[in-house]
Amino acid sequence: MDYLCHILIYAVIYILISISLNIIVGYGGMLTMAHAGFFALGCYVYAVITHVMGWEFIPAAVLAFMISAFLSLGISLPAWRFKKDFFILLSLVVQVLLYSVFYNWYNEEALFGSIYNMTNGPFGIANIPQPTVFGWQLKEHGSILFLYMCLGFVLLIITKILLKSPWGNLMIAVRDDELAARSLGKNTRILKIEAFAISCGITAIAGTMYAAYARYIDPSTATIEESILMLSMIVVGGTGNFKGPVVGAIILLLIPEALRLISIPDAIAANVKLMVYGVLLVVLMHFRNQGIAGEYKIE
Amino acid sequence: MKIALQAEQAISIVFKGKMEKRIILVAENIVKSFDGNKILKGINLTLQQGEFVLLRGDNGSGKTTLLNILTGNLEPDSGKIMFALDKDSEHFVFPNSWLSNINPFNHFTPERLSREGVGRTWQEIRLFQSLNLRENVSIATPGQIGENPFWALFRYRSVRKQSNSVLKAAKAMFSKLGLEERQGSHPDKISLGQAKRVAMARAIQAGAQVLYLDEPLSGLDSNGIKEVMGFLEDLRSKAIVSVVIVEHVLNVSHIMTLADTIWTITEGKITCGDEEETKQQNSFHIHGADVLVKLTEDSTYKIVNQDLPGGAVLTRLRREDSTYTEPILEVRDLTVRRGNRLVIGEGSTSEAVKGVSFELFKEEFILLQAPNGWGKTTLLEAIAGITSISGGTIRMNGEAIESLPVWERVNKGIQYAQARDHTFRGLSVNEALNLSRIKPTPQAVASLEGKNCADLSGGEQQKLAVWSVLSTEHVKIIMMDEPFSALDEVSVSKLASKVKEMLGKKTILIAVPNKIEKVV
Repeated sequence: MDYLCHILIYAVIYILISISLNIIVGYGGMLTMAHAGFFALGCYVYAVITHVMGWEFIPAAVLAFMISAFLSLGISLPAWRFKKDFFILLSLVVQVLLYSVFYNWYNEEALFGSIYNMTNGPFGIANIPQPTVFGWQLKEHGSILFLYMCLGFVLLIITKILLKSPWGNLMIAVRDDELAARSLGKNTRILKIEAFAISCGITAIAGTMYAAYARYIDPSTATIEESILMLSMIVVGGTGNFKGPVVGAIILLLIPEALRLISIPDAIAANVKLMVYGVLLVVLMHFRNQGIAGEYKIE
Repeated sequence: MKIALQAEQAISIVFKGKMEKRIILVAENIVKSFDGNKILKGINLTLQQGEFVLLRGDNGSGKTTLLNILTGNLEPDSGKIMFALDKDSEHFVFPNSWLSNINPFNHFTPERLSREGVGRTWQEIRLFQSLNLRENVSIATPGQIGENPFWALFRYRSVRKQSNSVLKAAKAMFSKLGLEERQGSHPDKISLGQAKRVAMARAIQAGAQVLYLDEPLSGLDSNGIKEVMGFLEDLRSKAIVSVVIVEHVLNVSHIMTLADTIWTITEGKITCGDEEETKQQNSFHIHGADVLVKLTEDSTYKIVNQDLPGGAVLTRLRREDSTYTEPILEVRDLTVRRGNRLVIGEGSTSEAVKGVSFELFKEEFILLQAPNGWGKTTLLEAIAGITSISGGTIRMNGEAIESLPVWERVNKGIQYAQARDHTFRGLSVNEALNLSRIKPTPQAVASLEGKNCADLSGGEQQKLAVWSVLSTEHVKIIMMDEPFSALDEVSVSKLASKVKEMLGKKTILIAVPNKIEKVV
């Protein structure tokens, strides 16, 4: 039962990441490589704020959303001007910057949580408090899963309403032809700021969920490999609609679990997992570039 | 301030002593250069409410540059533009002051001008492909509260109510267009003429009071032209929207029937003609059919027509004294699919699909006339090897070439001039000609030497592409997709003469929309 709860908790986190990335990539048509950075940002905000100030889960998640939404300007402002390959490069720069901050905001002489040591650098942050809601600390997997499913459900509904609204249609229009949308009087710059803020904010909330459940976080959460894994979810599952990212998140979650079931040693399983991801990406990009259940073809 | 005063004076002008028309656009001394090459050298113009203007000029004269400036896609180097589309006039003075340069929300941009009431369409239509036609039009409605994500969440009911009324307005627009049954279709499922009308309707839905149309009749067959002209006539009769049309010389005679004024750009300046002049100018324009008439003037040629499935016709121009028994290219049962859609061929999944079959003979001139959406570009691309085929065979001199890559087909002597995306934008004209191993430079494109391909106008790019193909040595089959589109009168005549000169020497296949059937 605990194992099932564990899988479902990861499923909620993966689905949220995938859905949020779908806003930018699937609806906005902007391939970003910085998503793991914002996910890690959510983890760190939660870890620091609960460790140092003893905040509860919900206010910490809201703060993570706001900080991440604000810092997403670092990627949405360049998106005004840069497109396609150059935009991907710029998003990589943002990714590296965030990783670098998490890795280097550390001083061994300073106390963790002080202005000189906010992230504990390469050692990461351990013993992160489990989520506390209204004074009640959730320790059982079942109760954490219940909280995450409620939160995940609310965020999914919010995302669905947004993507079905005129705002979502406008995102599709900008993806299809930004100049034509601008010539209809649509402010595509503000739209990009909004899309990145919402998407990075939701990812940061997924980050707080991860940090509160895994109870350990280090800079490896913000590496480029993690960003590629996140992109793989929506490439495999598909983008441009709602079900594609959900399918992709579930598939990429189940692959390592399936490898575990066939009793491959962990060291080999990690490599096999990467190989399976790679083969899946290559095969799908070649034969079905809209993914298994998606609508938008990534070109 | 000076501009505002002039605008007020202009607004009170009484035209021809009969009807008072408000001036809604004034542009003064517009100058624009690219790499030191001055394209516009002080353009002055005014536009009245409900006025229909034809904007014309030779290839490279700056028509598109002016259109881009007047729609906010490009900033002029200097000059003043004033819009008086509603009670408050808005004016822009160039070059910008340092204050407006650092203000990201105060720029001369298409979205800002659109909100002022300026709309445009493009030659390549640019409908949103992922949205259906109804959504394409409804999305253009200004002031939708649901475009703000915060209100989309927290004023859910108001957003839904407004979205429903916007959709109703879009439906009403479609019934006016006579396209009620197609409003749920996606843009790739309708004809070019319908798509162009939807694009114009979308701009009007966005609140356009001045509408700039870039070649609205280009690439259309006779039905498409009829549809678009009907829409434009309706606009003209209502006299609410002012329309500025840039149109290609082959279609200009249609627009002449609507135009109140002609703006002609010559040597970077604009001259305006009135209605009388318009009528006189009418006689100078060649009709699309004239190009073919020019080719068929010689009585030693006879015309042979071959019907193809789907309403296309292959018109062959053959020497009376020659026999054509040796095919150079044989196309048998050719089918091309894009996804599930059959682009070339006839039939559906439930019945046997019938492909296209024909042959081209040595030294023959062939005109492929096909209605919009028939797939003539796809057919030429399939022969050239750019598009992969789904079934059938293509043989050149008896040898199967359907599995050969593009470059091997070129080496075998097939040259293809595409209608669009035909120039290397990163190269100079000389480099592009060198790459095609063309020496010396053809006289028709000599004036382009020294320029970069990216700086050429649409017509100049077309000219370069077509003449590159015609001047290539060791070519056996020349295929050209709508080669006359975007060319000015002089270039059309030169090209027609060159094609005539090559008659009986090379196999030439030209694809055109089917609007010249009465001539052949």
